[in-house]
Amino acid sequence: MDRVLCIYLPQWDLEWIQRRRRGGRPQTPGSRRQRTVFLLVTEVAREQVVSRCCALAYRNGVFPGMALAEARALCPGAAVLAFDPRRSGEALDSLARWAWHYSPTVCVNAAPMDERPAPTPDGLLLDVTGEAHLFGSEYLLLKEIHGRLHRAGFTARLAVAPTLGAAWAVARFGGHAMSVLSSEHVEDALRPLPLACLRIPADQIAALQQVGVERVEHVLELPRESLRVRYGELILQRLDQALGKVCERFEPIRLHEPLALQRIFEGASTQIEAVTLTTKDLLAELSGHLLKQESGVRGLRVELARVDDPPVSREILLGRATRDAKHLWSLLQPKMENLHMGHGVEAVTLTAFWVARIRHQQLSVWAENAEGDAYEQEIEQLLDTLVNRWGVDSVLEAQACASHVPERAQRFLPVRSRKQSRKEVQAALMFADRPSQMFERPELAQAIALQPDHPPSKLQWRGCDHALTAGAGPERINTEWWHDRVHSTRDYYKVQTAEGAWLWVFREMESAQWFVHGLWV
Amino acid sequence: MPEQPDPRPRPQVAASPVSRRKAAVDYAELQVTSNFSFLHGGSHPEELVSRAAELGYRAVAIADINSLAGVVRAHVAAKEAGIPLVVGCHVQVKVATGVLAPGAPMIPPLLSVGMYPTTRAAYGQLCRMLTIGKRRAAKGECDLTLQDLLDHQQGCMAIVTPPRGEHGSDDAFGQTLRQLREAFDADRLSLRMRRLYEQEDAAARKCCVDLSKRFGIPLVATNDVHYHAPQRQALQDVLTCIRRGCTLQEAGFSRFANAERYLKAPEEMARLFRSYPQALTRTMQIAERASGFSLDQLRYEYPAEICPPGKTMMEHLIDLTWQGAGERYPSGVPDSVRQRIEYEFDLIRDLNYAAYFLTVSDIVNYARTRDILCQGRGAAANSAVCYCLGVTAVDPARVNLLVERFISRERDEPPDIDIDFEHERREEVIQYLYTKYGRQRAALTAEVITYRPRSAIRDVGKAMGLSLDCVDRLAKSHDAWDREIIDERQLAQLGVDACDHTLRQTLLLARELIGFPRHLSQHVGGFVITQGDLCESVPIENAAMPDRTVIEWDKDDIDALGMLKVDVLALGMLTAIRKAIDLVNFWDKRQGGAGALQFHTIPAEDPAVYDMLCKADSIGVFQVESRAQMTMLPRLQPRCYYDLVIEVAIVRPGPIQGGMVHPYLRRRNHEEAVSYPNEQIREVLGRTLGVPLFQEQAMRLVMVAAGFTAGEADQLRRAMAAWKRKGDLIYRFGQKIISGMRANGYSMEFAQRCFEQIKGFSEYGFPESHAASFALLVYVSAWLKKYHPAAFAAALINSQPMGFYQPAQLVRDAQDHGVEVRPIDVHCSGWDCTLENAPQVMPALRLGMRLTRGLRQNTASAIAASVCSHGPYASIHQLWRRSGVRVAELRKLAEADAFNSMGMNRQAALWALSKLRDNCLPMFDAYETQDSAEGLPPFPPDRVVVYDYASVGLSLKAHPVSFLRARLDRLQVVTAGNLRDEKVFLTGKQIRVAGLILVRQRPATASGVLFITLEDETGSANLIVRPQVYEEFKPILRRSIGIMAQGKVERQGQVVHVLVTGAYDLRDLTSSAALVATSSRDFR
Repeated sequence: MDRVLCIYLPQWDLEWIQRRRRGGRPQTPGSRRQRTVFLLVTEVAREQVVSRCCALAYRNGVFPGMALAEARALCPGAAVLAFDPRRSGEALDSLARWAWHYSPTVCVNAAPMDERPAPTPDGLLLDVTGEAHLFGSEYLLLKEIHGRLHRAGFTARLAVAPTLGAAWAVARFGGHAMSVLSSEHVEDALRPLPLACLRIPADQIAALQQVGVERVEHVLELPRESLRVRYGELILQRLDQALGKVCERFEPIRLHEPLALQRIFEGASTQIEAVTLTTKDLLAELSGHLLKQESGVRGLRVELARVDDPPVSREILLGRATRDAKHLWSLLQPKMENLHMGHGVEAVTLTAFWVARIRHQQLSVWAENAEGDAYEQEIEQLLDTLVNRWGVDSVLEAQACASHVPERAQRFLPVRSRKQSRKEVQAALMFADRPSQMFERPELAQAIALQPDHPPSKLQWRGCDHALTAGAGPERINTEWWHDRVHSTRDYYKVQTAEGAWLWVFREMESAQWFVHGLWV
Repeated sequence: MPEQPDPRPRPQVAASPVSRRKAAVDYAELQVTSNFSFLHGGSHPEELVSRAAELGYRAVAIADINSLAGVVRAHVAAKEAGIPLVVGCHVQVKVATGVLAPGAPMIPPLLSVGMYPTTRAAYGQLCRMLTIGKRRAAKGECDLTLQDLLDHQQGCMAIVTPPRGEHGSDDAFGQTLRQLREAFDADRLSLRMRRLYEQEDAAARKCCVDLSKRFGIPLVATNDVHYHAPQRQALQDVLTCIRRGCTLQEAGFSRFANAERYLKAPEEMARLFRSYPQALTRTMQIAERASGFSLDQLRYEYPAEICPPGKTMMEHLIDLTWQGAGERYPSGVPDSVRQRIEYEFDLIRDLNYAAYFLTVSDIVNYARTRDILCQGRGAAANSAVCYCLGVTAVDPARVNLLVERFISRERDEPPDIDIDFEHERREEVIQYLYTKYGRQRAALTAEVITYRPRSAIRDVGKAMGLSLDCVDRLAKSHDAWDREIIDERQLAQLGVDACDHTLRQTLLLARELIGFPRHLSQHVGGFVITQGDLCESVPIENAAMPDRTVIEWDKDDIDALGMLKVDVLALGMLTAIRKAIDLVNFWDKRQGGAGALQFHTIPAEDPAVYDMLCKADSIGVFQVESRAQMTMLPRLQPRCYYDLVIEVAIVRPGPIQGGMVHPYLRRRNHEEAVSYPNEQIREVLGRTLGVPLFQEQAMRLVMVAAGFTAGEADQLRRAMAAWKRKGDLIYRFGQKIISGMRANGYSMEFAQRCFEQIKGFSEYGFPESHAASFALLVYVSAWLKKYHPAAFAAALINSQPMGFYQPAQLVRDAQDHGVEVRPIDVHCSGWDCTLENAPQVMPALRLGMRLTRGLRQNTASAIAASVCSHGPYASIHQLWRRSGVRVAELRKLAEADAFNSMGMNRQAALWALSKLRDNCLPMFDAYETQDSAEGLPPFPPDRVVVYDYASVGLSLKAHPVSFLRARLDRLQVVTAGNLRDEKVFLTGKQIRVAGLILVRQRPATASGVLFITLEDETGSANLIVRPQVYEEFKPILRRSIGIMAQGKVERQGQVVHVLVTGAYDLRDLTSSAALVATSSRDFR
């Protein structure tokens, strides 16, 4: 006889975030009284909508599906967080792994009905057949789990029943936080529960409610044929599953092993060539595996097991996923050069600890594109090399910004944080004729212009006098008024000195002072 | 960015004389983009024009992008400032590129051409071209090609802008230029040259000079003006961001690098263009040539077809009037009326309004032939002539209306007649106008949608890059009716940092943005009809609604040019009245009567009707059904038609805020002596016992007492009417009114009081002329309610949505008046509610299928037709097969419990229906096994009511609250019916009432007080919730469907209120399901 344990976590989406915000500490009894209202919101059709709210918010009249603005009006000072179903689901996955304490067969489970907002996993199912004696009794098992979840700050409702359907139904809709159901009591326990406990679609529930059928007992009264004609097989199937007339199984979660390859030497080797050759072999092998998985590595570790010494390892990180063994080797090689072999290496392990997907790409037909791709790839590879040598924050690139103010027309950012597309950069660069070298700070100079709006004819700068032979301008640029409190207007001129140097000078209108801001070299 | 708001004059301010400087240089600015190039220009046309005048420009042109929307405003402002205005337009046309170069954009580049008409005909051509472009494109856009431009260029001066870069004679631009030169000649074409201190200035100038030499086209200097003063650069940048939907940081090169695009002094322009003097003189040449056209030349001509050939308009009007008078007074026109008509004829002849009356009469006649009920209102509508023409039904013999009160000789402006039509059929009238006069000659006026505080702060906040959250909080702190942006002090209360630089800039800019036009929308019903092609006077564009076309000017613009407009408006009550009269006649005929009731033949001044109104028994009656009106009725005790006129006008924010209500009531009840400072004032205020209640009285008062001229009084009226747009204008008149009155020997106290009252009108005043027409509808609807309650209720339900109340309350009210109401039934109901035979004298009301939620009208008609041909059906299955109605639709009827006459309640019907499948073939019907509803659980009565509410919105079986009564009795909750007992429930007594919330109202005049109407099974109770109580019980009061309220009784005559001290959600009291699925209507 099967025994299924269902853990229902009605407030999971909120509570795991609250727990994370507490820093994972258990809830202390003193802080039980909740002060802040927590709201999780999603954006629906450009409007912020509450998708989960805490009990306190609910008491203030907030409910899921309400517009955030309205909820804010009801609960001023609410803590509003973005609802991220993916992360919430990941967090529940890790809880499921925790549940391996209690059973090897665990799965994450959600309400199967089509709900609004869309259902996210909010419970776990455990197969606990034949293990009650380990905890004394099934009830003590429930108490153990409930206690632990409660201390961790999670509201939980649990049930053990002979069928998945019954455990699911009683955990969600039963009257107690913990219930143990024996097989002869299943039907009695289900009879007073609402239809939703049967895991049927919401529209079927609504249709049945309209004719007064609201609870399981009402369904049991109706002829099966009448139900089948009207609502199809599903409701009968669910009923039978819950009552144990039809068997139902679930797919348990499994562990994902990281992709790791090992080569053990026949006896310790102290030859670096042996290690490097083996590593290259392993890389080629890894590349083959990755090809099958349509993925590439972004993080790779090589570990050498040494005789009588602790193992040593080296890691590389990549800007984008790759499975090019040659490239990977070119990154690994410099790191491995200075590895200490100790008394000999017994084994080499290659672990791809960060794998990312690479979509299959069609080969380009036009050579032009292929060249572009190759170029791009080469740059990426170069950047990978540089980043792995000097660190992520040390490799910067200049990015063009669309701004009239020269100081803001470019900035340096770590290469890996680049967001602009090449097109945008080009658009920003194309705008104006700007000097090839710009000074970080404009340098004060003395100049004489014979007429207003005309380039200066003499310039004293860095202690030298320059006679100016040619000039163009002015180009008038206002500072960006929203940044700076001090309003300033500059008239820029491109001027040539008698020595032939081209300078970029400007006159600040407010102070009537001259500055040199850059030069063409 | 200026830290101080720029002290610019607000647009359209009463003439402040502009000091015109005499500039030493002749210069006219020809390229000015105002803020009517939406989200491009950073200044109002008025600001630009007056600034140009100040600087001594010889002329200024407003040339908006593909639009003439701002020129009328500029025209008015230019006249005031005494500067010649050049009407222009910046037309953007698509140019076909010769060869599509690889990598070139697929969209053909736009060529900007400034067009300046030199004659009326040229202006017409320009308008026609814009109309073509706009009609071709989606709303708000314009799609023109170079060919369109070449086709419509006769008589226009043109300025072309060369695009960036070098140009040879063979490239695309060179070819275009050659084409343009051929069409325009060097005489009318110019090349634009700018000096905006941009990087490529020198190169661009050189290119211009080259092109000019090569093609022989003269150069012209412009400054590409986008704002009148450089301080507006910040706002213009923000507008650019709003237009592109980005923040200032992201705006990049789409914003201008510097603030040079302002109106520079002519001397400065001369300095900038000192090397090109010919470019400066060219501006003067163009301006002079363009001065051949002025908007003053637009002559409005009435359409000719309203008058048969061979007769003058006036003769035709006289004929029609006497003909109508004969029909109105079958026993002979009374002498007094005859005299008045003659008098009005003189007035109409003098002011030349005959055509206007004829136009209105024509529309009304059309409506009459199609049996569409309509009624005119407004200044000119309440004249004897209009009565005879059938435009209104206010009998001049019955009411003493003086016509010059409505049309004054001094005010030379078109008379104002708004015509209300049945709301469901107004579209027919609109389409009639379009077909009769053609889309070339008739169009709706536009409504300029401008920035209000809330929208301004939202858009500026986004552009400034504030977080969406912060923008939201700022915007939400402004109510829709706020006129000012909040100040820093209030900002701190919102919990945002008031010292933050960005935030302060946001507020400053948002304040500046208020009043900026955002886009054009259509006016509710203002039609412009002309004799010639309308599209030669003003561009016409598509409206957002299909089949509607709109001109670019709004009603102020039209007024300014003296063009005629007829307002074709929709009014739900007219629909209801027409339907009620039809039902009454239909019923009368079935009973063997003549069925000859008409809107005009309803007996006047029936005391029984006034008795009913005095008791505040007015649910469903036009205008006086709101809670405030129902409280006023017993206090005012209307006994005649004019009392209704006052009733309609008095419960308005104007009189309430001006403090006119209580003095009037005291005087009416003889608690206060009626006195007038002098005879003149008595003449003005005599009708309303010395208290000004109408807008017209306020105007007369300032003329009589404060010495205003008619023109000034009219400005005051406009200021009052347009408070939403022009905020504080009314205060500028305050000083003038008070000093004027003091000078005429009135006491300071009297003057102050008068001004307070007039200020009140600026909130929302009601003109007497409108109140008079509305009062008639009040009377007619009240009469129908009194004598034909079943037909009246049926008609109101059939005209939904309209009015204050939902079908549930209307049905309830009908039942209270002894009408038997029968449920929806597939065998008896049609789409609409109908009347049926009943044992009583009065017919019974059969609810129509239209009340069924989600049901389509053609389903209802299909079922009705099928029942009519077949007779009653025995089963749903039969009905389904015979009528061919889909199962989903039948389900909706089953949910409405409409199968009772088949012996099936809702549960049984739905059970039977859940088996049917639409795609199932009839041949299997034989195998259809009858499975009954046995085995289904019993249905509790409170749930039955819930489902009634869910589907029909009401229940004839029981009131939801009745299921809670036992529980409520234990809580000592009083029923609404008992609350009326004045012996038990005295003022001050603590009580509890419970019920469903019918209406929540929070009028702007009541300083945050919330009014709630509760309904239980015995009647309704009125609650008053003070703001602090509201704050405390906000979640309950905002969202609950039903509440139990605790509070003190307050009595005022027959009116009972409960001053609420606590509120509880009824759902907390009970597990009964009876309180779901009902809803209330919220009015603010």
